[in-house]
Amino acid sequence: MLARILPIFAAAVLIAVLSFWLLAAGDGAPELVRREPGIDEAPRQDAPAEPALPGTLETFDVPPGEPTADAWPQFRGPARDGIARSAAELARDWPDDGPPVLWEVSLGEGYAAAAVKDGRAYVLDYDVENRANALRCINLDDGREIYRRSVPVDIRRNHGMSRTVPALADGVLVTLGPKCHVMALEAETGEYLWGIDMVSEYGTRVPPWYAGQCPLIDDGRVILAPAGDDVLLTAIDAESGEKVWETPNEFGWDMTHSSVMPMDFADRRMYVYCGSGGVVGVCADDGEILWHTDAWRISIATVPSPVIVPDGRILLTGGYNAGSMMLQLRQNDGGIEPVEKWRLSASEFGAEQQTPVLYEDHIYGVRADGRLVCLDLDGNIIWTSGREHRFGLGGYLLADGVIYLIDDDGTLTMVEATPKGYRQIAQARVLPGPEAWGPPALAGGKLLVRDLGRMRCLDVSAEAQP
Amino acid sequence: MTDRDDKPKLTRRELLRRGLQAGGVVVLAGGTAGLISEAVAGKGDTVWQLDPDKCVKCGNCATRCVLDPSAVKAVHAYEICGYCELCTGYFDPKATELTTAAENQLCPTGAIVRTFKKDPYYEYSIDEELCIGCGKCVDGCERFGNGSLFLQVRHDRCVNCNKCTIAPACPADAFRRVPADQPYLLKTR
Repeated sequence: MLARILPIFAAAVLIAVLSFWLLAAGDGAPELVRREPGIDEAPRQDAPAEPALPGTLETFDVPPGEPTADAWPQFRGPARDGIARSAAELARDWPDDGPPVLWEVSLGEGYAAAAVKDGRAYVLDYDVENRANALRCINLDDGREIYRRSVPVDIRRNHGMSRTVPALADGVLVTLGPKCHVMALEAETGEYLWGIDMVSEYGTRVPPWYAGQCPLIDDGRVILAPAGDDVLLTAIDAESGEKVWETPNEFGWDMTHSSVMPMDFADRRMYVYCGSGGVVGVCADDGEILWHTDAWRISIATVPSPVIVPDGRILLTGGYNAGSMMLQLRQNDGGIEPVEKWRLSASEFGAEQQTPVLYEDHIYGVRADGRLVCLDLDGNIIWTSGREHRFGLGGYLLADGVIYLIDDDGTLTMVEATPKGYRQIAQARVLPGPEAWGPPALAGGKLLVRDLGRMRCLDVSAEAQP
Repeated sequence: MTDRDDKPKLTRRELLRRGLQAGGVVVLAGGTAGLISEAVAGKGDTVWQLDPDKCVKCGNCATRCVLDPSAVKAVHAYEICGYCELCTGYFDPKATELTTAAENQLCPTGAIVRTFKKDPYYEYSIDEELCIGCGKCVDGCERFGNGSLFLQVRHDRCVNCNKCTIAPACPADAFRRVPADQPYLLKTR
């Protein structure tokens, strides 16, 4: 009996000793580390605000250019739809080296683009040498600087240092800087009217890669989406800077790179905004939330703005595998209900950075693989530009039935805006690049384009061509 | 103490036997050394490496290596990195906030170390003890970022098998032999 039990007992003791040795020695068993917030020792962002505004004004005794009959007074042009209402006839062909370059100015690294009105171009540049946001007012005809208002802000290269377009209305110019400083100026003179540091005022969290939201001026009010601790959207009197209304941030959304878009539906004017957690529509009169949905949110970065489509539809699109979604607003028991109408995968259509253009019941935009795509309003792909015609992350606009697209490297392409197919009209290298991502602006037959470090004014009018 | 004369006498037969034995050992050792050196020379003094331009981040490197964890590790080309706060190689696409909390991280083993440098920059380094070579970070970085993270066979770990077990499982045919004195295929700007 003992002879049978002894080996079993000995084996058990051996296993126990071996187990104890393996476990107690700890060799090969990595120490468990809790992965918690703050391991990276990142500072909280609500550090004391920099005493930046109102900055300083320099004037250069330069007159404005000849006033143009049309304007590009804000992000995406006069109607905020990416379409120029050009007063000048536009050329349908260019010389081999492209349309004539009227002037060029150097800019700090970035993607901030121009607003144009009354012979002046306005761009919120970053002055690297003086470490300041620099609102530069430029003569549209020759590129000379008329005035510059500089606001000291410490911006470091972070995929560019500037990325917004000012808004102009009724003589007031409004800018939104990379670290969420809002500034209102008298457009002609650069005199300071009012300003807000949204980080200290609202607890706004500056989005990764700095703010890309472009301010909206509508009916004498500046519409902003601070998406801070308590306020999601706000309306501010454009001249006085007085608060008109605030929409509570009851969802706790953060600011994105998307901009606020006005929309009319069911006899009501509203503002549509894509926050970090969804999409909201607020009443233009008092900021009341009319509807919201969390069916559209992009965790990495929401960049394109909502595209307002007739009959209560809103096209939402984005990069980072988001694809696209058409939202349909419906009146429902006195309220408004957003309903998903259709959705496209990222490989079908999703614009990563630029906002698509709606033109004659078709949507034109560049998807993540760089192809220009034409969609109908039911989400059907009508055509793509194919693998041989790609445009990267560059900006585009539509004028006189033609799409002007600029690619990453600074090649400008003119394409017919038609559902009949990809029809390229002209193409020329107009910038050395890289990263010609700033959205172009067009007024008076002058097309303003930029790459990472410079802006050029091209004469694309029919008059200029041989 | 033993007198020198006490040693047993070596006969001619014994001397011959020992001589043959010694000669046999020399021949055997020489032959073996020759075979080994030929085997190594057959590899042309090469080691296995993974071409980052071909890699499709399939995950096989994590599971097909004879070592556990794999000798394939993520490496980082800092000159390509944007040092972004929102790193798509670090954060899960569904992350709810940009913190180091486990639920926000893409890496299943927490092998990417995120360190705040100065506003707005964050540095991302690889803890190779934790990295299993799954390539999830590489996929996120290439898909949405600058592509500064990539996979490499680390030769302080790789046992340089004659027939790499990952190579035939690689759907992109990204494994090949490279000179042992230049064992890495690095990404540069």
